[in-house]
Amino acid sequence: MFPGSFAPQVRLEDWSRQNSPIHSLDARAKVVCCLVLLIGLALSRPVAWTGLCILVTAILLPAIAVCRSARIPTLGVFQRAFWVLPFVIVFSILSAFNIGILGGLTLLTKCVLSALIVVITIATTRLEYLLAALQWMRAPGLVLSVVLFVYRYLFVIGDEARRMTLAAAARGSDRSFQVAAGSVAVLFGRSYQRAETIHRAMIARGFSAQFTVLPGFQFTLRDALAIGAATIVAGLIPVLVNSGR
Amino acid sequence: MHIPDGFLSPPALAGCAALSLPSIAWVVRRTEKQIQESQVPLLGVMGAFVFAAQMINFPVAAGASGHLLGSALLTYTLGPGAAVIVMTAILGLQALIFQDGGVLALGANLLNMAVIGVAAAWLPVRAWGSQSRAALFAGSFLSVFVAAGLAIFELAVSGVSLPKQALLVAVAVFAMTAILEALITLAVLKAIGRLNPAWLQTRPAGSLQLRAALLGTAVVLAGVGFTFASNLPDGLEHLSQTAGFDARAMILFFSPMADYEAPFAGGEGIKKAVAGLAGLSITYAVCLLLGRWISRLRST
Repeated sequence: MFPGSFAPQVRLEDWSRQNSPIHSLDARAKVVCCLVLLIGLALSRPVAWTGLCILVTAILLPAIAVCRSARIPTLGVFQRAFWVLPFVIVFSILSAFNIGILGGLTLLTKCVLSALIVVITIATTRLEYLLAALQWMRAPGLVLSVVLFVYRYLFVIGDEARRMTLAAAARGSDRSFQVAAGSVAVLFGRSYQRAETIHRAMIARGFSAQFTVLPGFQFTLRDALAIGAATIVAGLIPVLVNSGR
Repeated sequence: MHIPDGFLSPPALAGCAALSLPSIAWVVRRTEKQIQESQVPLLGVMGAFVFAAQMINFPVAAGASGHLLGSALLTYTLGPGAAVIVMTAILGLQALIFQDGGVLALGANLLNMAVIGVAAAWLPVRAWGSQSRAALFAGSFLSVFVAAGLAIFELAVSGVSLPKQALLVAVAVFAMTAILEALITLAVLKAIGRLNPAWLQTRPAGSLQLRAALLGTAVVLAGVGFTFASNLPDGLEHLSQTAGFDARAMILFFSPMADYEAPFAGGEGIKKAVAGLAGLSITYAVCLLLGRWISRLRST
């Protein structure tokens, strides 16, 4: 399911830590924009080829513009959005037999465009700010702090797993089912003990089991304008697309 | 089986979110009381462990290999409540950072894998006890198979219908994945038990009534599933049509689904799009209020 390393994720994080007019927007506004656009896409069902073309243009052009003004590599962002393709292509081809080529292609387009919207949001918003925005929207703090921990230790435990597989390969181990089960169990044990160490270290630093939000939010006119623009695009897409002929 | 955005129809998206978000809110409230504060880092590191464990390949016959999916293993080591929370965090991160599953479809993916998947893994163990290897096997099999079946069902209701042959192949693949997951989970549990038995959840066998009720439900569900499958794809088409009719009834809420084949005029279209957006916001508000109400109920 995952490539051997989490390096692409680090690149995404680098992008999200840059500075630009898009990066400095209120994270809550960006979450709202992202959701509104996704809902607009979900509501649109092109009935003709012109509709599909309108759909693509209405999302692609603003997406490129946002990438340019956020100074993140447009090509890299698109590349990540295409990560959804392997799963989607199979489904589109199969359902093209049932609901026609337009239907199959619509499925594919909507998936890639939705992924594009999410990637742009993530690439221009630091994860802490994003989670803080979700907390403001009343998502449970426990889940958010677990998300933060998972993200923080993803790379640590991932490296541990890679070292283990590398070491096993170096010993010329015969990778049997039982050996693999043993490795997972050892990884489990090490993770468990690491969690205890982490907790002790956190207590020593005065951890209070509360997810605290570092950044303060500032909702300005620019954020309102961004939400307005996203709403107009999201509202127009279904109207234009669903009535094509 | 992570459903990306763009596949599910608005009624399916809203329905799944309306089921999964309040259930997760309920689990969070319940679990927050039970776990100690020291377990917050533990849950996070265990989520990272699931990601990392997926890099370890399990060789299967003829050069093929598979890997752990993890929800059953989490359930049997951390307990069902904590497993739901960790799965929620994992699925959320996968949707945001890995483009694995959609953001709007997160409600559906959470329902399949975090809520129903963990429940399917836990119920057999709750009834037959954690000593029973058969219960552990059945639970980890079901955690994958039921989740995948639900995903196919949600897609079918949304009108993404597959040819009959493709569906049969898909079901066979899911069954193989589920068996592999059960074998891996059992082997890993055994190895963990050798390292430190305290890391495993222990649960005495449940009452006879519970077992009977579970078996009865399983038989009924399997029967329904079988009849459904034997009428493929007519059953699916019928279902998606029914869902279409339902959507017609909810025309104020989710218009584009209803008017799939009838192109409509611009003025009417704006009204419908606004109505659609309003419908989804209302769903969100209802979920929010429901979550608050449950949390009030729990804290008093």
